[in-house]
Amino acid sequence: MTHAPTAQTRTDPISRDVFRHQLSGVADEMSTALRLSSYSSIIWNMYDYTCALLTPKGEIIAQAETIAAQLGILPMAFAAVTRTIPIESWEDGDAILTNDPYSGCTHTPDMVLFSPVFHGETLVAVAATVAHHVDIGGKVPCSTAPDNLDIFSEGIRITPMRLFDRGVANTIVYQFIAANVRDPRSCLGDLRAQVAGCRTGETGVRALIDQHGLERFGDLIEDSFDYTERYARNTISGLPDGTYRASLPTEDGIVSQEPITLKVAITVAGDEITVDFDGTSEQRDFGLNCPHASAVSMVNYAMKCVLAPAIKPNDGLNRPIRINVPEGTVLNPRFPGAVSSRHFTQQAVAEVVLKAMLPLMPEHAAAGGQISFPSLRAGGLDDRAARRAADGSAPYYIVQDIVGGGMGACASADGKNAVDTHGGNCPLLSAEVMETVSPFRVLRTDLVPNSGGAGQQRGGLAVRRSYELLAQKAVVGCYFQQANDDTRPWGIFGGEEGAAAGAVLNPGRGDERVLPVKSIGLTIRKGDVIEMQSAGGGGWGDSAERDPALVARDLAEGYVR
Amino acid sequence: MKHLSADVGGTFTDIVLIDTETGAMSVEKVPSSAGKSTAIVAGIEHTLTEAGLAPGDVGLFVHGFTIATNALLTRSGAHTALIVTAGLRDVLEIGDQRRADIYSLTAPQRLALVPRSQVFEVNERTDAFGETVTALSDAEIARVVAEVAATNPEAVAISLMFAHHAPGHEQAMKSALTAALPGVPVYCSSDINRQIEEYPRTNTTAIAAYVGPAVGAYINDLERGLGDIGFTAPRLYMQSDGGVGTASAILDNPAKVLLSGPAGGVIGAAELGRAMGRGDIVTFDMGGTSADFSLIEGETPRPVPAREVAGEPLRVPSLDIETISSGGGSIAAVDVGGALTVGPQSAGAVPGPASYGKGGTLPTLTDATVVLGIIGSSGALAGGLEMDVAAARTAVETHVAGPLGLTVEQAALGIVELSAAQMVEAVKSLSLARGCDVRDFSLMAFGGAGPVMAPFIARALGMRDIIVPPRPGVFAANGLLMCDVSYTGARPFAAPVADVSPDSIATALGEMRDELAQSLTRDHIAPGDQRFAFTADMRCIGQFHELSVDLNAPGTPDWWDGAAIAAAFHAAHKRVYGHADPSAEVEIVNLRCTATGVMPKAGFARRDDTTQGPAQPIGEGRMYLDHDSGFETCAIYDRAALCPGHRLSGPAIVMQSDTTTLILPGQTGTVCDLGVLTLTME
Repeated sequence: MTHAPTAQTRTDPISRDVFRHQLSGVADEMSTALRLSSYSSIIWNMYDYTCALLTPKGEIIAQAETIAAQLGILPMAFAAVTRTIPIESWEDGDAILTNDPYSGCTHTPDMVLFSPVFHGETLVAVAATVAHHVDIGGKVPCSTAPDNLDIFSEGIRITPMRLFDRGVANTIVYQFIAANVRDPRSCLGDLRAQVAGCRTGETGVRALIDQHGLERFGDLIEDSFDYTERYARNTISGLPDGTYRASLPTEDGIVSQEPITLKVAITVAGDEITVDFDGTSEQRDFGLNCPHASAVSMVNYAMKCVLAPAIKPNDGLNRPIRINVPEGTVLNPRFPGAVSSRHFTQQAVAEVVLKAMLPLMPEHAAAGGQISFPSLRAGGLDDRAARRAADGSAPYYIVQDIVGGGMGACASADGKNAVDTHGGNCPLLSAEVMETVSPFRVLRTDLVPNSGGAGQQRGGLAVRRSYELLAQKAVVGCYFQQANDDTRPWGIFGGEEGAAAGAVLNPGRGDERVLPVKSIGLTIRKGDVIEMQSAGGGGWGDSAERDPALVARDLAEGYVR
Repeated sequence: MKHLSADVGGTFTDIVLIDTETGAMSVEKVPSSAGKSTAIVAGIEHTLTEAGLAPGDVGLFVHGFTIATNALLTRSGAHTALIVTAGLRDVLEIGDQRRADIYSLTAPQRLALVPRSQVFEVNERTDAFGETVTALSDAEIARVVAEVAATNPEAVAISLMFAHHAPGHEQAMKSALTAALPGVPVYCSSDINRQIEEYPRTNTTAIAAYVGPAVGAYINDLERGLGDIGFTAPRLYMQSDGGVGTASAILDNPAKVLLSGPAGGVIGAAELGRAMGRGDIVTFDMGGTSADFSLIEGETPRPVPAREVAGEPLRVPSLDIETISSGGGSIAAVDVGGALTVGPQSAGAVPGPASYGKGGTLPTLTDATVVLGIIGSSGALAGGLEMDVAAARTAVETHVAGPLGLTVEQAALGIVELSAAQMVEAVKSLSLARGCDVRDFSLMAFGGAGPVMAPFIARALGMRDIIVPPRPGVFAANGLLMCDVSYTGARPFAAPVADVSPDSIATALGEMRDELAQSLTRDHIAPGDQRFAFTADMRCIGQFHELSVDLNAPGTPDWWDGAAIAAAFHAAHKRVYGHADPSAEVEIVNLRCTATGVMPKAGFARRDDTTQGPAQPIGEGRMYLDHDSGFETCAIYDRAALCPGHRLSGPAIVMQSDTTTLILPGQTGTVCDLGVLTLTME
């Protein structure tokens, strides 16, 4: 066991804390530069990207807070990249691209770009950006589908390669990518935005070295790591030693009715924590597997939520944490298992870890929340009269919507209504924008009464959204999980479970049909209605103990009927 | 002509009287009293009496106020009813479903401005192209009006689907409601924010309704009070866009005064910059609880079409002011990992900083500056407040220096440096978002605490210089008297630039201009003083982010050139986003018109008492600004005794009744004929 570091610093605490602000400022500048120069709405509107600075050893120094799920993979992706392209061979102006889920990345649409930061001859840091690209080729538009058979059906796999070589763009790589994706303009535009993000990071780091000097810059970074490590160790030391277990089932729904079960044992010993996923379900035949790096990333996210939610993080926070994910499980699949819809399993990783940790840090914890990620995807011809061109041709459209659900209640408050949870923060598509850009009319978007688990603190409410098709025909995908009594969000300390998620085709009509958790390639006709409902959050504590004023408010506002 | 302004701040309301011929200025500070205008009217009376003037002698009164902002911040606005299209009842509850803090599992639910029980669904529907899908029947109107009336609302907001294309249903609801609820203001989304996206449009309309009654009551109260003392001058109110409007213009859309408070300082900064020949300025207005920054590029502050206020999305043109919760009262602490933090908790006015001796025991940024000898070392502050140096030292020692193993002075300087680092990041994020290099900018510091922190910020950012106006403490009130009347109009106009009919655009722009011209005329602005500017919100087809492109005035010869407009769009795209694709087709989304009514203004007075050489200090103090040299002797100057031409060298302190200015070692101050103190690095 390592000893908890003392408060000694190489520099001094004030310089270190000013420096930490400067570092996170550089990460934020990278984020602004990337977003401002991005091409597609998935980055601009949905913030599905992330930026960070790493040491030449691959530890995260600073990060911008957009999509937490993408951040934690960077050290593993960096390790994989440097195995292929040794760090000694990196030169000023290089930018190295990869997206391989079997080399530390998440799923193929998440492109990872690293660029070295040199000060004179010395490699001092690495700038990193990750961005979700709309399409990276493969079987279906947008590349991700839960029934992708293997990694080869999920688009191009980019083993580490130089997108820029000493400042010169590698046009062959650009051409190769352009030839293999459905929307090359967006893809290349967003790649350029990632380059802009990395370059901004390089400039920012060089400015910090100019200010502090190279040696002191290194000392300040080490002091910053020591600080977060000490923060984590001091917090862990206050927790009772022991092993804490949890398990969490989610639906497969593609080929198997047997649930996917995640099992975790969390052992606290002194100022360290070990997280072991032994006993977790074996990998599945389709795209619900979660790449190893994503599983690790979500554990780190969950640990930050309970151990240090308020501080600016770096990899020092993860130093006291050991993670074991057995190979061949759904959280560490063997090649060439498909992983493109890993977000369903990925959110469950955070959920099961937080469930196990709950007794240890109740003040930062919450009951079970929505991890069902209900999403509707459609593409086709928009043949509404007002959309047709003068020659009668109908434009092609593609649209995607992600519906938030309820967060679990916590000791101090009811769960939040209608949010995307662990690792993500997707916005809801505006009903007016949706009907403008696609032939889908949102008929209703409302909170579902009674969907939050009852408790002293009530779970957050689920959302119901229904869509009417205005074109002659559409082929849609409709995906979610947490659809039954075994999988819906759990309550705690006597709090009740949140409502299950679900979807119905043509509710209230003669041809009404309950949809399964994964409807792939569902053909619908004009006038058909799809109604999706997310999951509600679990309750906290006995509902008999609930403040009567809150009970009255819930009734008056119709949160509860 | 005598012009008068009153600027409401958190603690004090500043009243400024200016003689527009001579530039002579007199100033009065009265305590701010929440929601009441009595103190302001009394202060105005006193100011005029002191100046030997009668209320009837005043030619213009301009007011910056915070009643709307406070109603939103403290959630004390009107009992509001909201009417939405059936199925969209929870549009405010759900919002955009994003969370502010992605690592918190315990942050409470954001409360919608209008509770769910006060939201009413009406059976009607318009499609994406403005065509009626479900008609709005008279029976349905009657049903909804009866339900709404039964709840006795103080204000009503109406926001129906696609009303920005087809406002008919909203207007029909409004007519019926106005008839049924006399005296209750009713706001339509098609009037308040005529733009696509139901959530921000509805929220903006709800904000208008939520703050409207409070704004109305306040303005009526003030106008009555001013009338009672014999005031006859036109009265104008500061808007968020940096222009001013009449009471009736404000009450038509109360959502446009949410930034009335800080806007005056930005306009004043632009004017002072112009007078000094400085076009590129970062404004820095710092008080006890927060710091406001904004960026002026090329002399003119440009409003942004949307922003957040108190966490609520608001889509009315507003100056781009970034506020961080960092002020003199921000509390310093050490966390479990041994890191120093400053803010966001604030000691506020009560108990206040430890050095105020009003019961505060936690160390604040103000206490740190007291320990360092920057503030309070040279006697009483404004208002006769003596600083308790011992209490400040104890607070810093107990809560910061001890836990970190530092001396009290090291800890105090650390608190100042960390606060400055937070402010530096705020300035960087503002400038980066606009693609500006802040090293070419001047930092204009005002507010009670701005000139103390400015030298640290400017030094860290390598900025060109620091500008400290003659009266930093009342600069925002001064700025109010430099505004023009403004109105803005917007309407959707969806068409690819290549296919658009110039005549239809000219008609749309002309209608907007005529409407706004009527408003200006109603405000007694002569046609010769009316100015109009036209812009189009444009984007590449298939993209979501829009950019504003200037258009020529419709009807002038060759006013429309589609290719040139598309090229201007691509150039703007390149500038803002770093890349452009000139082959991409461009479409118009909205048209906008801005109308300006040029007002007579008081300029900044130029002094003719120029002198030469170093200024004479009034005393000596000791400041700790560097760990190596420790406490060092510094000169203390009286701002009132400084004349144009004087030079000052740091380390030094410049005292005046409303603020303290710090000059760091290596910085030099000069005074120009505007009485402005400019600090540069040697």
